[in-house]
Amino acid sequence: MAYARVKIIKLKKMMCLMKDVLKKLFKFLSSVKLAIPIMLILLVCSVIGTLYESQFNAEYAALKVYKTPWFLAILLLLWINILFAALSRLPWKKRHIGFLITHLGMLTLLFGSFLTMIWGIDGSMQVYEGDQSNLVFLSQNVLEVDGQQFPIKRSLDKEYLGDLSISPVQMRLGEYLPFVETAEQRFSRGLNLNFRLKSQFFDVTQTLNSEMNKELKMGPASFKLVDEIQDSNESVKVVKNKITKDQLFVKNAEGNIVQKFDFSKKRTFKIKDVSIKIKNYFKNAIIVNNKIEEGDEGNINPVLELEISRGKESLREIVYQNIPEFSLNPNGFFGYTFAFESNLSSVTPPPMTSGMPAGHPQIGGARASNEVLFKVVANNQIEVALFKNGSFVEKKRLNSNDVFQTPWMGMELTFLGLEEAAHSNNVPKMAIPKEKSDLPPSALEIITEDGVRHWLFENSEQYLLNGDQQLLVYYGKQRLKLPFDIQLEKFEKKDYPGSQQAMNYKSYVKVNGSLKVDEIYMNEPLKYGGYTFYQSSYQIQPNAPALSIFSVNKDPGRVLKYLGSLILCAGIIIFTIQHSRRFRQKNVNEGTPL
Amino acid sequence: MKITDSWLKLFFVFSLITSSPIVADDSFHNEFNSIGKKLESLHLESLPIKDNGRLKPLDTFARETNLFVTGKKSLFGLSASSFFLALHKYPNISSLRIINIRDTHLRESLNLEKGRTLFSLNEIEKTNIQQLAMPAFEVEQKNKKLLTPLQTSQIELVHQTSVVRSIGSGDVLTQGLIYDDFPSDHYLPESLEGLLSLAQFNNNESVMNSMTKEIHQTVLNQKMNPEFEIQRTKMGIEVFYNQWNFFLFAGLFYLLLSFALFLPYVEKKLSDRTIVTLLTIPLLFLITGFSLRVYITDFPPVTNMYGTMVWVSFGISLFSYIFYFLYKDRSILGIMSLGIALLLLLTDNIPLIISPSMDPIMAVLRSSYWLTIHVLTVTISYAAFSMAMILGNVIIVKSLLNKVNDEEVKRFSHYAYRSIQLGVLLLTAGIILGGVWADYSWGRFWGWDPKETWALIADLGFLALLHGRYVGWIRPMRLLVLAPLTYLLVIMAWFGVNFVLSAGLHSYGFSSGGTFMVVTVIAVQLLLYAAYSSKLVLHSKK
Repeated sequence: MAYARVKIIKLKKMMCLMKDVLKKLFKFLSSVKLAIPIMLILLVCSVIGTLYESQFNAEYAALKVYKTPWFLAILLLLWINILFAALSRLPWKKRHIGFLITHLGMLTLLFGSFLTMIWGIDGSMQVYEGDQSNLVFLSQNVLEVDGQQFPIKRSLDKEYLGDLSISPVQMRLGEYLPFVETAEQRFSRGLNLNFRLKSQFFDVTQTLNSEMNKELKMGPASFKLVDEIQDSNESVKVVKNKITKDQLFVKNAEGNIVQKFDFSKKRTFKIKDVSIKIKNYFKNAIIVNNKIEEGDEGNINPVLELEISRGKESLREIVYQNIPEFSLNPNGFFGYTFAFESNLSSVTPPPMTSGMPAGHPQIGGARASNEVLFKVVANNQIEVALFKNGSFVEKKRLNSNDVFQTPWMGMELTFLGLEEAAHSNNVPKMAIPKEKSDLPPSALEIITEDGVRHWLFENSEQYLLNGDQQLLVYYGKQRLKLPFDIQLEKFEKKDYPGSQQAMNYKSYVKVNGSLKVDEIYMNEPLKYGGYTFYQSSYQIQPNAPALSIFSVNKDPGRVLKYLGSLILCAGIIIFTIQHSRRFRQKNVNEGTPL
Repeated sequence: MKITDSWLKLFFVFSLITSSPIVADDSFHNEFNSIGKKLESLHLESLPIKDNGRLKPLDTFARETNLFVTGKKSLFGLSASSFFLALHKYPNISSLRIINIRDTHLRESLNLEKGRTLFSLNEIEKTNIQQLAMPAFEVEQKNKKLLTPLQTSQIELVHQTSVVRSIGSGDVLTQGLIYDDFPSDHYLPESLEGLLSLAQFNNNESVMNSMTKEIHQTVLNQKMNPEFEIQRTKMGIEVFYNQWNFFLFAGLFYLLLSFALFLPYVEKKLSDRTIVTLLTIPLLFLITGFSLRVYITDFPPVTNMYGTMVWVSFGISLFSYIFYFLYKDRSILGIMSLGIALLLLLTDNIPLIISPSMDPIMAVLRSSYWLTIHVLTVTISYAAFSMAMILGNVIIVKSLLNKVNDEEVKRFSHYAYRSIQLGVLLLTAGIILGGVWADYSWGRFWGWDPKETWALIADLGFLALLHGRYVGWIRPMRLLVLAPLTYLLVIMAWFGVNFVLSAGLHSYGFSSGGTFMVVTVIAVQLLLYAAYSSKLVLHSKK
């Protein structure tokens, strides 16, 4: 009992304390002494905002001050302060009328503004003369993937947005750069060696590349760009791998090896709930009648035939040791891909003149025994070596435009020269906003399912390959599709006589194909479907249809803002009259005026 | 009208423009002057000239062109139009020192005499201004806002020289006399040339008069587009408006009134009724000036800085009139009259910064009732704040001179408080009306445009003052001391945004030289504060 009583007393004490704290909080939040610092803080912040505006532009100022959470928090605090200040005067008396109406007006006005901020739509629409549109560009940015929109907050700092998921597709976001300019990125792709082959029957110019395209097979001979020429009879350097055990590699979606299995003895393996069975192991696989078979001995082309199963599902895969990219299912098997390494000597895969052939790759075939080897010696000098039927014939240094006779059918080779192979790509480069100019666009990095990174510049769209899907990806101003069309019949600009200065401009529009022509001009907007269309700007260029620019607006807070304004103005007038000396003299002294 | 002009000159004690040295070599000057004198007798002031999208009388056109070139409406005591016409007729125009280079740095960079501001075309052509200005023009094409002050003056000088050249060649006149884009039946420029040439050698007034009449008749018969046809009827009125400078007259009247009220000997002799009558006269001048401006332009007089300054002067006049009725306090009236006088004289004497031009306005500013209402409301609130500022400064100066007493402080503080209250009422209403206008015109109630934001800042400043007074933080003397400080926010909202920040939708008021003016005003006010606070510190030490 006593214990319970103590508890109740404690509780009562707590309640008292709480009450006390709440009272103090209320007093603090309702006090004029709080209002003054809030007003001064708003004043200073606004001054800073206008300085940003004059240095850069309105958008920058909004990002830096007016649309920041803390600025909105100050406004909210002001709202609460005004509300509590009004409540603290309870019970209200006659002399409070002016004060109350004024502050009620303020509350209504600010509340209306909050509504506008949250649910209002403020965008712009561009229509060419004779054309129609229903697209409104809003001020906030979005990423649009396959028609789905994801808001991207315009920020002033470089950010990593990796945690933002684009759920329906396996894409991820990478970096966000606030201000960028386009930079041309040049990738060096080694050296290009250009040469010309000429004979009675043909005359072609060919290029070998030191990184991507080292070999070329043409007619009776193959051409190779090598690092070292050995004056031996064996032209092809057979790279002997160090002897390893027969190993099957299981890789995950990112291409990292997650498990290795020795398949020299065992034939079945398990990784998590996926089981892998080696059905066949070919040492020199060849394709006969579209089926894989063991070929003659002498050539080496190791191939594994796998059966991968999970539960009742079972899939087949062919793995080439020498062509790890090849797969029957490039998307992987239950999240895995496979490669292997055998203890058979591996040779460099035979040259492929074109890309991967359809179906199984053609493997094997005669090794070119007629070879021309090139080696870069100096800036514009090469060494060329000739092998006929596998045996060394000749070696010579060539400067550009030197001619070299081959022993085959009078084929003549001209060394045309060396050049750096470059490949360029537009990539974003961080930019600094310039004073008194538009802000540079932002850029967003998109990482596709395959881990490929793409940069999207603000207000641009492009098709991206995501796995086996082509997706239209757009990044930029949010595009709102109105449920109706605006058709611009005619645009008219009237100048002040004898000058180029516009006096007025007017758009004649039809909404949703209606027969009625509506006019939109300065200070004369069109209202339709809850939206208001204002004539905001235009672009007229010679030999092109005029472009009319409307600002499109939907403002759920409008009524409240107007109402609040009226109440506020009325309140101040009442207040001023109520507190004039004459008025007070008539109505006895009641408190000090504001 | 010449008599009034020279009479007015006597009163230019407060004028910012100091007298400039005589400007041409004597021989050229005399030759030119004699041509000007001969042309003086022609009555061509009201001849309509097409310029900047409207028809204006030659008088206005000449004033504006002369001002741009020479920095003054006219030189050598000639009327604006005869100075302009004489320039056109004078064969040695290149030797006349008439081009005003306002920027000292530009004069320095061109190796021109530092002490002189007027130069001849020949002198300027010897410098390499054309080449020097090339980069400036390139910048101008890319982004006007990036021009440095020196580049702006370079561009201005190049324009000045080209205007002088085309005055000489007659191109300016020819273009101004073709009222429509299609060629006219009567070749006006030719008849005008004929008349001007004749006037130089012939003294037969009747011939001249009949020729002038014929030219005017030709203009009247000319077919024009409807806008111009309406404007054509207003030429005479505009000349009248130009020559009877009502705003300046009002300013001078207020100056006299304030002297009368400050001199105890005179003040004693003035009855209340006399004072009301004396107050009504300049108010009527202002109203007349306004009405004419509105009639001529068809717009309310708030489309440029000049309009707002005159409107604020009018506001102060009106409010002090009301205050006088309420409080019967003559000292306030004297102080306010002096304030209005200074403001009006300032407005009228810096035409290069505060252009009195009545040229058409941007399309977006046209035809909107809300625009008119909101600008009028906002600027008249500045008038109320100006009163508080003036009262505050008077007390600061008085306390610097140790001439302040408690009764006066209380009285002034009450007036300042009521002015601020009135100002806050009007400014809040004005800001809201501005929101209504923006919503009506752009679909946006509030957009953080610098002009509207600064109006809000000024409002917040004075609101904080009022609330501080309510809480008891700000006692009478403090209110008076803080009012001019808070008024600096009004200066920024009114001028600073256009002249210093010059960004945003409201930048139609931008012109050069304004930055200097705003900075000067702020600096003077701060100096006054420095003096006051050092006095306070010294006082507390004692």
